Amino acid sequence: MRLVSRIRRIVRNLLHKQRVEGELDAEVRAYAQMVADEREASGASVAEARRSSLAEIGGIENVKQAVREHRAGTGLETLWQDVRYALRQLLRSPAFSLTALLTLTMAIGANVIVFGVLNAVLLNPLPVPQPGQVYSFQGHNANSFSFSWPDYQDIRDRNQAFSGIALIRLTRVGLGFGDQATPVWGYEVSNNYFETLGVQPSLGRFFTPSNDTKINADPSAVLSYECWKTQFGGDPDIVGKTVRVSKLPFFVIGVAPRGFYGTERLIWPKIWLPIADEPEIEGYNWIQERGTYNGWLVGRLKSGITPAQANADLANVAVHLKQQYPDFDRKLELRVARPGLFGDVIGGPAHAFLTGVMLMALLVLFAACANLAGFFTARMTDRARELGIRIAIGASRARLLRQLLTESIMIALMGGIAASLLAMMILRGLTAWRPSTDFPVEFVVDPGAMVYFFSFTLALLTGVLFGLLPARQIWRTNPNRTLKSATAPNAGRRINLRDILLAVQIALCCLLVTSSFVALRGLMRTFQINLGVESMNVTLAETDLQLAGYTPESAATVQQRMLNAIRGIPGVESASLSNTAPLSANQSSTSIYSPGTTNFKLASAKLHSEYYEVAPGYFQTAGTRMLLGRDFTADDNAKAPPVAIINETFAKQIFGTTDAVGKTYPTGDGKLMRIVGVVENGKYVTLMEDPTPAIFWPLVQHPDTGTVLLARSHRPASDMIPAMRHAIADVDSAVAVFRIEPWHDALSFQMLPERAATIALGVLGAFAMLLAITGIFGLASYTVSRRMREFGLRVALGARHRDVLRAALGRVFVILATGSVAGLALGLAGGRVIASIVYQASAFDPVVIVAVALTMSGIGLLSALGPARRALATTPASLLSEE
Amino acid sequence: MGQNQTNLLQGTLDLLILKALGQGEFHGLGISRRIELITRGTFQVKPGSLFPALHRMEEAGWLSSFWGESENNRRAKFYKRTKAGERQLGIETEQWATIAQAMTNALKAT
Repeated sequence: MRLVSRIRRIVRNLLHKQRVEGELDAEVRAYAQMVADEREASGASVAEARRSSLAEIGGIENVKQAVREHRAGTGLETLWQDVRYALRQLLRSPAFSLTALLTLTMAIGANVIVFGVLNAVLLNPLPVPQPGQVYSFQGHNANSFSFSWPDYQDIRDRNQAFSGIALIRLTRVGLGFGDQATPVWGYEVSNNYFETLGVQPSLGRFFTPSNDTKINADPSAVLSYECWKTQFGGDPDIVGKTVRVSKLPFFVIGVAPRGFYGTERLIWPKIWLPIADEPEIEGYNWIQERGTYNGWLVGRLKSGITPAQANADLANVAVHLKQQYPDFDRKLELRVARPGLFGDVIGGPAHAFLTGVMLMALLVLFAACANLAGFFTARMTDRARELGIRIAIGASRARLLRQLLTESIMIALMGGIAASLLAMMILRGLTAWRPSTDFPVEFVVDPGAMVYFFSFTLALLTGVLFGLLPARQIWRTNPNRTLKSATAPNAGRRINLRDILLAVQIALCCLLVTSSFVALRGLMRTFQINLGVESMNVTLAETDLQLAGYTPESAATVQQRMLNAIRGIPGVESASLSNTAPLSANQSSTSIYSPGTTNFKLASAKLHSEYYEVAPGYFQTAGTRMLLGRDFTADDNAKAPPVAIINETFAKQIFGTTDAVGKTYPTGDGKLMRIVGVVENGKYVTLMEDPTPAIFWPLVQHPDTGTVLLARSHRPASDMIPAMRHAIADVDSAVAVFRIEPWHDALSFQMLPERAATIALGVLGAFAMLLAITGIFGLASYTVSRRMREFGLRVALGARHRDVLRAALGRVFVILATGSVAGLALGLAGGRVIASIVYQASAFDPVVIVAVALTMSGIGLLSALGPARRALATTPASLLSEE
Repeated sequence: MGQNQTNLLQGTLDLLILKALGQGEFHGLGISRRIELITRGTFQVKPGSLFPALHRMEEAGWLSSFWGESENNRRAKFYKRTKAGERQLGIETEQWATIAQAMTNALKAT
C-alpha cells in the first residue's frame, strides 16, 4: 500500500468524520432496505420484511462498529478516546491523581538524579577515541596510583599488552601573558600522551619524542581548547607565540581538540607541558629518582587484549622490576584500573557507592509501583460495578485493559516529565556549584539525551508495571456478580501478591533506613574526630611563590614580609605560615630512618611521614597542642643545627615513646636531626586515615615556595579575607592567591563524601519510609474494611479487643516483621559499601540496630493506628445499622 | 457465516470479493448475492463481515467506489475492482492454489 494514500485516508477518516460516518450509515441502511425490498417482493408484509432483514444483518450499529474497527486511523482515534477517558478519570479523583503524580515524580526524579550523576561520573565515555581501551594504573599499594619516571619508562618498554602508556604529572602553574598570572591546572606529560589517547590537535601539533629527552631545553606547551578560547580570545595565530608558565616563557605548539579535558573527570587541565621541563616548572628535579612516585599512568590496550590479560602481563613486568630494584619496587603491584577518578582510589568506592544508590533508587521506584498498584487495585474494586456494566454491554476485556493502561501510563509519563524537570534543575545546580578547593574541580553532571531517555523509559515501564498489576482484576470481573453488587469472595488466608509486594517494600524501607543510620552515625563520628587543629577563627591564604617566579631561597624574605603584613592587620591575635596545610590537596611525605641506621636505601626506611615546613608560632595559630618540648624560635635559622617537632605517632614509631625531646634520628647526609618538641596527633591526608606520623621542620631550614598564611582572629571572615588579600598584594601584586577562606570551611569540604552519602541515603530512606507507611496503612485499612462484618460478629460472640486486633492486624504485623528482618540483614551486609565512603561506618553498631528497630516499630504503629481504631470501634449494632 | 468461519476465512473473503466483482460494478448486497451464487450457496457473507472487508479493501486501493442507483431505484454505494485489485486477485489466486494443493497433499498423506 502506498504510504501517501494511506496517510490521506487516515486524514480523511479523522478530519471528515461526519461525512465518512454519514456515508457508512447510508450504505448499511441501503443494504438493509434492499434486503427488506427482496423480502417484500417475495410476499412478506412491510413490517415483517423489515424485521427479518435487520435480523439477518445482525444490527446496523454492530456492522458499523465492525467497519470502524478496520478503518485506517482507528488506532489513533481510540487512543485519543482512551486518553480523554483517562484524563476524565484522573480529574474525577484529584486527590488520588495528585498523590500518584507526586509519588511518581519523587520516585522517578530520585532515579533520574542518581542516574545523571552515575552517567556523568562513571558511564560517560572519556573524550578520546575508543575510550573502552583506555585504562589507568594502580601501583605500589591499593591506595597508590603514582609512579616514578624511571618506573614508568620500564613499564612502558617492557609490557606487551599496551599500544602505548603515557605519564601524567598534575601540577599547578600560573598561566599568563604579562605580570598577572592565573592559577590553573597543568599536566606535565610524556611526549606520547596525545598519541596514546588518540586525539588530534585542533591547531598546530603535539609533542615529539625529543620533548622527553631534553631536560629544560624545549619549552613547548599545548593549550586546552577552552583555555585558548577564553584566556587567549581564540587567537588564530596562537601557535608559535610565547605564554608565561609560572613566569617561564613557553612556546605554544598546539591547541587540543574541543571538549578534550584529559582522562580525569574532576580535574581539567588548561595546559599540557613536556614532563622533561618538570625541574624548571616545579623548582626541584625528581625526574631521575626511581623512589619519587609523582606521576599517574594512562595506557591504551592493544586491540583484542582484555584487561585480565593486561593484568597478567603487568604482573610479569612487576616481578622483574621487583627483582631488579628491590630497594624501590619491593612492594610494586601493577594492575589496570578504571580511568577517570584517580584510579581505584576514588573510582573504586565511588563506583560501588553510586551503583548501590542507583540500585536503591530503583528499588524505591519499585516500592512506589507496588504502592500505586495497591491504590489502583483498590480503586478498581470501587469501579467494579462500572467495569461489570461495560463488560455486560459488550466491551472487550482487552479494550478495558488498554484503557486502564492508558490511564496508568499517562500518569507515569506526567510523573516522568515532572521528574525530568526536577532532576534537570538539581543536576544543573550541581554542575554550577563549585566546591571550595585549592584548585578548580570540575563536576559536570549536565543531564544529556541519555538521562532524558532513561527518564522516559523508566516512566513508561513504571506505568505498565503498576497498570498491569490491577489488571488481573479485569480478568476476574464477572459481570453477573458485580451487577448484583456482591463483592468477590474473600481470597482467604493464602499469601497473595499484594502481601509479598508489601513485605518487599518494607524490607527495602528497612534497608534504606539502616543505611541512612549507618551513614549518619559515620557523619556524626567525623564531627568528633580530633583533627589536631582548632580551625575555628582561623583564616587561611594559600599560594605558591614558584608561580610568581621565586625560588625557594628567594621566597623566604617575601614570605616573611607577607607574614609581617598579616600580623599587622588589626585584630589578628596570631599569625604564622607553613608550606602547606594539613587535609589540603597538597601533601608530601618523606622517608625516615631509625636511629643508628647506616643503610639509607628507600626500602630500609623505618616509616614514611607527612612533613610540613612551618614558621615559629604555627602550632599556636593552628591550635595544635604542644605535648612536650618547645616551639621553633627565630634562633632555629639556616645556620643553627637542624631541629624538628614531631607528632605522637612519629615519636612512638621511631623512638618507642612520646618522651622524644632531645632524641635524634639520622637524615642520611651524615647529620642528625634533633627533636625539640612533640605535638598531638592530627589528620593529614584524609579523615579516615589511621594515626599517621607527621614531622614539622623550621621553614627557614627547609626553604619552600609553597606558602600558606594562617591568621587567628575573632574578626569575621568577611573582614579578614579582604584584609589579608590586601596585605599579600601590598608585598607583591604578582602573587596569585589560590584560595583564601576560613579554615573551617576548607575542612568541611573534606567531609563532603560523608555528607553527600548521608543526604542521598537519608532522602531515599525518608521517601521509602513514607511509602512503607502508606503501603501498610493501605493494606491494614483494606483488611479491616473487608472484615468489618466478621469483627462485628466476633464482638457479638464475646471477642475481646485483643482478639479483634489480632484478627485485624496480625497479618500486617507478620509482614512488617518479616520485611524488617530481611531489610536489616541486607542493611548489615550493605554497610560495608558505606564504610568505604563514610568514616568508620559500620552497620554492626548496637545504636544503629536499636534505632532501626525503633523506627520500623514506629512506622508500624503510625500506619496501623487508624485501621486498628476502626476495627476496635466495631460494634454489632453499628454493623446492623449499616446493613 | 458464523464468527469462527469469518476468522478462518479472513484471507479467503478478500479473494471471493475480488473474484465476485469481476469486471462489473456491484453494491454490497449484490456482492453478497454473487458470492452466494458463484460458490453455489456454500458461502453466505453477512454484512458484519462484508462491509469491514469492503472498506478495508478500498483503503488498500484494490476497490474503488461510487454512489449510484440500485435496480429498485435505491441510492447505494457501488464497488468496482481497480488495477491494483486485479493484481491482488492474481496474487491471492496463486496463494490459494498453493494452499489448496498443500492441504490436499496433507490430507492424502497417510
